[in-house]
Amino acid sequence: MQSKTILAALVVLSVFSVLIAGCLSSEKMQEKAGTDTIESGEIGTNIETPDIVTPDINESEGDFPLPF
Amino acid sequence: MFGDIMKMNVLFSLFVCFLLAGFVVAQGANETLNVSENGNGDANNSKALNSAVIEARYENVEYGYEKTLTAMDAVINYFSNSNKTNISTSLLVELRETFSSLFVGLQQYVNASDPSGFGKQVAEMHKTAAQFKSESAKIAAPGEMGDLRKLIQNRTDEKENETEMQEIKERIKEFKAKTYKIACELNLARIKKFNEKIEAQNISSEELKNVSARIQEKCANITQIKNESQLNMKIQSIKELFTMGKLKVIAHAKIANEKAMEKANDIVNALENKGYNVSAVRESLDEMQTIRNEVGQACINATNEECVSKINELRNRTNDLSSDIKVIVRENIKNIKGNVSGR
Repeated sequence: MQSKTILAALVVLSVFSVLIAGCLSSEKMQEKAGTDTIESGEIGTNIETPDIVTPDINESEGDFPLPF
Repeated sequence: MFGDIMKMNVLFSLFVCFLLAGFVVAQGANETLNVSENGNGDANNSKALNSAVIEARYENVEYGYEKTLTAMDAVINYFSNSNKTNISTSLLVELRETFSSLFVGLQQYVNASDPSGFGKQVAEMHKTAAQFKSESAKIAAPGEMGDLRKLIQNRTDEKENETEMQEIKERIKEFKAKTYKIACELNLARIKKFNEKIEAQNISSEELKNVSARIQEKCANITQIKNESQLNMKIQSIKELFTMGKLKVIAHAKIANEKAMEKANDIVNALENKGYNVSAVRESLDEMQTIRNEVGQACINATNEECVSKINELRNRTNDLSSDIKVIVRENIKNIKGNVSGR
């Protein structure tokens, strides 16, 4: 009786996990499909131009005028 | 039987709890990673870069300050010890004190990482040193000029050989290397993030990856270089790579944004073919075409900054258009539903 119960529990758990996984993946698929459709209006433009910086160390800043 | 059902319930509840906990932990970890990699990482590196630049500038100024102060002291001593009674060195002493206190005040701008305040204070120091130079020239007799020049040369040469000055020189090297190391990390991270975005739009990032690899190679072990001329050569080549990276980033951003605009055009056409009313966005598309032409012109004839500013303008307009398209789609769907239910 005990082993049958555990077996039944495992079967139920498996079914639930498959259902949950299915729900999650179908939601993601729908989301993906949605973004691919023209109706989503997604153009994918959010590309900012990064600022490539060059440090500005002016080495002559410390060259003070000496007397004479 | 009731006990078995209870056991099953407990097992199921545990399973759901684990599933939820796993989901929450995974989401949390993902967010933390994104923030540290993209947002905070960049902000922290930018902050560290600003502070390293100002520290390097401070050491440069300190070196020049010590040398100039030595020259000022030599001049004041020369006139004070001269036998001429008609000479007053009080103005020179006052200018020396002003120069000295301006240098002391410089530290507050280092602590606050304020490059603008720092620059203004150094400009004041330059003004004061120039005034000292002109005032001391007024006092000196024409025949004394040569002796004074020689005296200053000897004193400043002696000063430069002092351990204190050698230590400042070491610190200048250290801060310069540190500054470029941080700049390398910052730029590499920015290029990497940018590459990921353009790759998602099927734009090749190979050229940028090559520049990144070269930056990475040049920047490796930069803080371990002891020889000053070697360090300067390395810095020069890194600077050239940064410029190359900047130009390539701009060129790729231009392509990505133009491609997005073309996509916007295709979407609007497709919606129109499906019977949607797109008149509201047609005008925007025409205006964007004008901006696109301006981007082309600015990136050929104007500065990099103006080119980037035009690219960003196009990007913002495309983003606005994307929102407008969503509104059009929503409105049209509503109308279609209304028509269907009204039948």
